[in-house]
Amino acid sequence: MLWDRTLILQNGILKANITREELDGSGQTLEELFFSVTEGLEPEAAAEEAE
Amino acid sequence: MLQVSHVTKQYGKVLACNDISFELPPGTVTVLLGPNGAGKSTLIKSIIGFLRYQGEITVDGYPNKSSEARRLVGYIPEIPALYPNLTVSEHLEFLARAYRLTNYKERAEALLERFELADKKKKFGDELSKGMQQKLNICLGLLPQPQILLMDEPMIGLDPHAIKQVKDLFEECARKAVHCWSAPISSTASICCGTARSSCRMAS
Repeated sequence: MLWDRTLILQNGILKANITREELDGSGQTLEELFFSVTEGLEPEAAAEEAE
Repeated sequence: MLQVSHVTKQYGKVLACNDISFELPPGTVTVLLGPNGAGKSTLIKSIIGFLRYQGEITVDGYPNKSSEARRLVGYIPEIPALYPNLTVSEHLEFLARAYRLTNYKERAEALLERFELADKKKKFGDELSKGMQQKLNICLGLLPQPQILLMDEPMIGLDPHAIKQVKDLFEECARKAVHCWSAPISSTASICCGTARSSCRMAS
């Protein structure tokens, strides 16, 4: 893993600012977080979307 | 190290960045993700000082457009910004002079060697293939060894071999500075997270 922090932007708005440790603690992958943030998916649906 | 406070950038009626704030400490790698048109490039160009915006950006306490800050920040643009009438060597020399670098030649040679451009030193910018232009673009961004390196989708136009070269180099120097790397989720997933899973779907 190369990154320490991810910032997710959508439509000019900073939707997420999260460290890798925080993400690991949430049980989500980066892809799942991305979909949940940008598409408003629940974590379970985002996981399926990422499969 | 890098502080972005309430940055807003508007193009006419389009709000490209809306009240964005964050802070990046030294020795960290940040990936800036977002769909096309999310504002990633606008934010990076604001940080580098290319755009006017509302809000405040400081680098190591200096305003981002000050000469002190500019010496600390490097930038690898999405589209290589090369001069057609300068050779590969001249590009590196030009950048070294702009940053007032001394003893840069050994590092420049090493970068050219690493990115397989050592035999292209006398080629002009417009004689290089797109991938080679991007490699030179990356060499130019890395030459000054900036404290903060902003990369706007640096893998565009590179073949898988070159992507691995960039990734390896990035891993070596990642903890020595603040690195901020913008990317669509697809390439980041495969490069930063070691998985290409779902990359095709995510790219769409």
